[in-house]
Amino acid sequence: MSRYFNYDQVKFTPAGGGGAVTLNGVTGVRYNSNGTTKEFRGDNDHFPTTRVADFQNPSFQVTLANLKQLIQTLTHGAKGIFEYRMLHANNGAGTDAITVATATGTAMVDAPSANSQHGQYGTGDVTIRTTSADGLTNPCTFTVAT
Amino acid sequence: MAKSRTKAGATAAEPPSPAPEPAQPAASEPELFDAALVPNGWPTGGGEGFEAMHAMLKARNDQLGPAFGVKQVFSRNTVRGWLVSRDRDDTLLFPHGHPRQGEDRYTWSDPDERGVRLGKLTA
Repeated sequence: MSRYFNYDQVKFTPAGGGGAVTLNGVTGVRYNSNGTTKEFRGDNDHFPTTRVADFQNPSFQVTLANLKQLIQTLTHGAKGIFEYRMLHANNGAGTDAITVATATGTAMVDAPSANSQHGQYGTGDVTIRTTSADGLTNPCTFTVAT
Repeated sequence: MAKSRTKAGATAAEPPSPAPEPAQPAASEPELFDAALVPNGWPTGGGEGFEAMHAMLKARNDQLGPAFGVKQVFSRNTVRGWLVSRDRDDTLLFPHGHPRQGEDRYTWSDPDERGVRLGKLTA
């Protein structure tokens, strides 16, 4: 049974050196292919008769409590590698954990925001967007631990 | 920008060098490939959603890892199916900005009975 529970190794490695920064206080990571499809209908069609998958624009949404990292590392426009590991419910980081990672230099930080409210922990939200080196290959890779 | 590896680390800008004697792998050594292009959803491992994704990735480690000489493979979807390889930065084509932009980075075999094509980096 493949079930996943929590995650670790949420990292951003800025391009140009400095090494990987492991983000902490992360309360959510969401991968989204942002895929779109386009439908066709004509004549007397009352339903779409053709549909093609026409585009993908992969991104990640990250929520974290470490606002210092948000400000210092996840600056708007910063390029690098983003990755995280989805932990297996039974084996943790061992066999069956899945690592999701962007190819080198294809991730870009977009619009980090910080939220502070009285009597609450501050939280930061950031979107990591991606670009494809060749236009045909998803820059996000998936690897399962053996 | 993802790197644009070519066979044996050669680049298009390098002058041609004397052709070395082709290496003859020992009979006992399996032929290694650089990547595979596999049909969407191959191989099916049962389950739905994320469970199916996990089973698929695990089976690719087992079935394609030996062909690349590694235990864990990187999978990503492309417009031609899933590109499976040993390197996180691999792409189907030479990247934008490369002198060979838009050309295939691999020479692909004919698909086998599973629909899997094995590829080697082009020279």
